[in-house]
Amino acid sequence: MRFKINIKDLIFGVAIILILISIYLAFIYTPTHTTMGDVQRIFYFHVASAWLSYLAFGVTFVTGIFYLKSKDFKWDKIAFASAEIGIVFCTLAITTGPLWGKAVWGAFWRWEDLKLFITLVLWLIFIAYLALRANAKSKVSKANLSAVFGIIGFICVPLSFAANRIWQQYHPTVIATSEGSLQSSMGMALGISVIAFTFLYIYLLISKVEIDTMREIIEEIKQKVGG
Amino acid sequence: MNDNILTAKNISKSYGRLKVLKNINLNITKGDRYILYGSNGAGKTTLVKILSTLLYADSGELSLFGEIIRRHSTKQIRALIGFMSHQSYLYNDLSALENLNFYANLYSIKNKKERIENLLKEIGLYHRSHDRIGNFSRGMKQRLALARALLHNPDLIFLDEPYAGLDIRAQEILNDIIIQLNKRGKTFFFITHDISKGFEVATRSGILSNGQIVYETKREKIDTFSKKYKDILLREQN
Amino acid sequence: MNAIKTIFLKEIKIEFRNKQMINNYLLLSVMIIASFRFAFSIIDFSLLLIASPIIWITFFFSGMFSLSPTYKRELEEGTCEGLLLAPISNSSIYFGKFLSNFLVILLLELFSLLIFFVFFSIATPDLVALFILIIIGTIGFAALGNIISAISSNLSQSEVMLPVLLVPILLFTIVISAISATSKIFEGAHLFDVMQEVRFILMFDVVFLAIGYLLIDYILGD
Repeated sequence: MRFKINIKDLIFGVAIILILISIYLAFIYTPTHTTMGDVQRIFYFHVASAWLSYLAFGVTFVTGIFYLKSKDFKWDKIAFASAEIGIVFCTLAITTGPLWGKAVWGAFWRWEDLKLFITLVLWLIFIAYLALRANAKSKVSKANLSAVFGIIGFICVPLSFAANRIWQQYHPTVIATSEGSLQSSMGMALGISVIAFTFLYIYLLISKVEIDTMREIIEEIKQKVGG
Repeated sequence: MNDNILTAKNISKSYGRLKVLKNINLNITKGDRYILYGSNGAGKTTLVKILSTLLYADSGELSLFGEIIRRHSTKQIRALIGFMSHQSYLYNDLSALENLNFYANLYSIKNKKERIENLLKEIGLYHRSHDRIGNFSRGMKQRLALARALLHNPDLIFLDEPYAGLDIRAQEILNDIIIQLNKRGKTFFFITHDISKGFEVATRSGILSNGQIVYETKREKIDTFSKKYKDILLREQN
Repeated sequence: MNAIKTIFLKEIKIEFRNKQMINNYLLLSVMIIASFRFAFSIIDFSLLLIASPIIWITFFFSGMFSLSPTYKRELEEGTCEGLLLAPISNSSIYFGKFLSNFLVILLLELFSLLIFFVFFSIATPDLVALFILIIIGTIGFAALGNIISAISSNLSQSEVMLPVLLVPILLFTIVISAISATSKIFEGAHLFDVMQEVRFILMFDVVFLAIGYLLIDYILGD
């Protein structure tokens, strides 16, 4: 037990240090973007949180499958925790995106932009996932149904991505992603911030699972005591 | 020939951290009429659902008719099992005949027309065959539910609180049918919370308390048995 | 196969015996089309552009209500366990109910389409292409709707939860492709002009049916 806590603290420490480094890299070290200006700096955190939300929802998908195969509630707990964290990062991604978009495109949102669109769909699907869990009648059915829904939702996203890619042809908008003109220092800043966010995610996931486990134990004790 | 119809070894089931059944061992042989008593929340319904393959145990082994039950391998075994509960499993929008016809098709019964006619006559509802059962009384529905459970001529019949909502006369009819079918070699397993019902038709009785079978007996006097049951219920509350 | 047919016939019998229910669905379609008509009567619009979204949104919302009782009715009447006890696989329950959902929704859609043509005067497009699009779109709609209905029937407030769970998945897969293809049909295209969309809709049909076949066990079982 002692060992596990150490690992958790270690991950937390690494996350903090990396986040500080990436803040430094994003705001001070990297040069100002030649065409977009300072607003481009939001991109380091925007991409990192978007990536994190895909990772988190992917974990929910995989642990959902594990749960259905094993019926072990451990997996359900991880799936739920990961979905919640994913929602937070996804919200970050779809709020930071428009800030950048307003400055660069002149509009907060582009409905024809595929990445925006798909991220929003993912957000909606996992908001629905949380609503499903909130309305489940028993622990078993909560775990079963949410696992099934998480799997369906996650499978459909790449397919929807592929399908919608076709429609893009009819909306010929050239989206100036900064990737084309990415300097090596910018690439490094982005890489560090993605790694930092990943560590943060792992730390949050472990903490969330621990809290949920504790909550369960408390409920159990409450029932025993008769409170 | 092996007479063991149902063998349960160390069956356990929990919902999350709540243990509903703890190491249930049960052995039912052909021709048994086994009744299991237990208070609400003792785990009776969960047990009967596991034994009838509606649910699967977390651990332990269940065999029915000599075959070990596993997930997704129970289809053929189900054709040998009848199940009647306090819910009728019947569709209110369909007539008595249509209901039985539907289940007869699901069980792929041969000579279904004849079989259904005979059953409807036996339970005294032949004259109402074409009426929607939404208008039936509770007792009539329960009789039809019994016909549904017996439709495919099962060898092992589970009854979950079969006496609930039946008047005295209907209870007697049910008991008669149980005895008669038992003479034809059918095995019965039933559960109820009400000690005043069913004891006289049972050949074996047990008591389920907190997810464990705490007492089993054969042909005991009802007074001794019900005293034992009350003791156990009292202990549960403390 | 026999079990699928049995369940399909049972569903259809119950669905059509309860005439008030079918009437309500039909009435709802009229109301949705009428509300679009009123909403668009006070602004300038190009009918050609909005016809396709109107049709599919109407299909979606009127069809959804007919999906809701598919499993809920079984749970409320207590017949679900009766089905599960029968010596049939859960997937035959799914396919039987899927076929009945498909038929009911398709009838509702054809009715809505008729109402649409009454309320909105628009040049009749290639009807064969339109019907084929509607049929393949409805397969996916019923296939996914059926499984989501099985999920939502186990939740509290299931009538609200059904659209909440269905919209994010269905709208961005089948409905968006169907809207794109249908609007081209209204602009005068034929079926072979929209093969790309048709292929995607068919792909989703297969995916949703496969999902239903594989996952229904985990919803209906313990």
